[in-house]
Amino acid sequence: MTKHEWETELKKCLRQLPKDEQNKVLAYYHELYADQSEAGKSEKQILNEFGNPADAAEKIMSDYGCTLPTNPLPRKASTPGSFATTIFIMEVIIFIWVLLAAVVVIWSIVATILTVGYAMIAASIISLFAQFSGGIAIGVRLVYAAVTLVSFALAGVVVPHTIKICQGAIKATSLIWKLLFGWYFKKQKGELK
Amino acid sequence: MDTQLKKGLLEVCVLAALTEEESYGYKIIADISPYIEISESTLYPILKRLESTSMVTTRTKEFNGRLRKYYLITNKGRRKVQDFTADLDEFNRVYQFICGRANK
Repeated sequence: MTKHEWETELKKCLRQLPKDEQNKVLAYYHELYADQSEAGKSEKQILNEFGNPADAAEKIMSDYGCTLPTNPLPRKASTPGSFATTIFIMEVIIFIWVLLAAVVVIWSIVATILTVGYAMIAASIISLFAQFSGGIAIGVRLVYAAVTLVSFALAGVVVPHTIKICQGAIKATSLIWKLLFGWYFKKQKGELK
Repeated sequence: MDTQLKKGLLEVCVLAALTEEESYGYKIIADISPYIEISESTLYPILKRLESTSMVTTRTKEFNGRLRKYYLITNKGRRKVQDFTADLDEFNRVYQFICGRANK
């Protein structure tokens, strides 16, 4: 193992610590390595004295009340630190906004259908005073009536389902929010390995 | 040596290594290791704890074109060393008691 490999492994094992603490530990070992190297020791001798990076990390982290993570692969949201926390909160906020936007779009469609229906009723009333000749007048009024009926029929079908869809979306959001925050805070406390 | 006993002694040993002059990580280990086993990974949390409890302060100085962190003992740290030496009589009495009973 080279010095770089040793430091990389140590950094992986320390990922539960805040970033500035990780940097302090690395600076400490970097300085020790330089001093021992100047004293005439070889890279192999120095790294033998440093020992296994996982063991070194465990001793350091036990002082922080942390335990060594068993999964050696780095995971994006597992490192506490102000930057990772900010990203996580932003992701949750964006998710909530997208869901709310979807709800607004669905209700906008319903509102449009209802608006068309009411507009047709108004148009029908106004057409009573229009100067159309007999046949055309009847035809126009029938069209208005038909569009009105279709609009309200559509609304009658879509609205109940829309309410169910929106209720489902709100329940799903609450559950996802609860799971995400529960998992995140457990990770922060180090209860999850 | 018992881990808990060693843990208590190591802190005082590190402070004692700093009583005459400021020192740095590698030198502290070199000064202490003839008397008690200490590793690089053991020293780091000790130094961190001593700094957080204001028993040592730190400063960075340039050495051979690189930065080296030096540790200086504070008055609080000196008091801790003095308290430890004052406790030696009591420690010796307890030690004699344990040895006396153990050898019976």
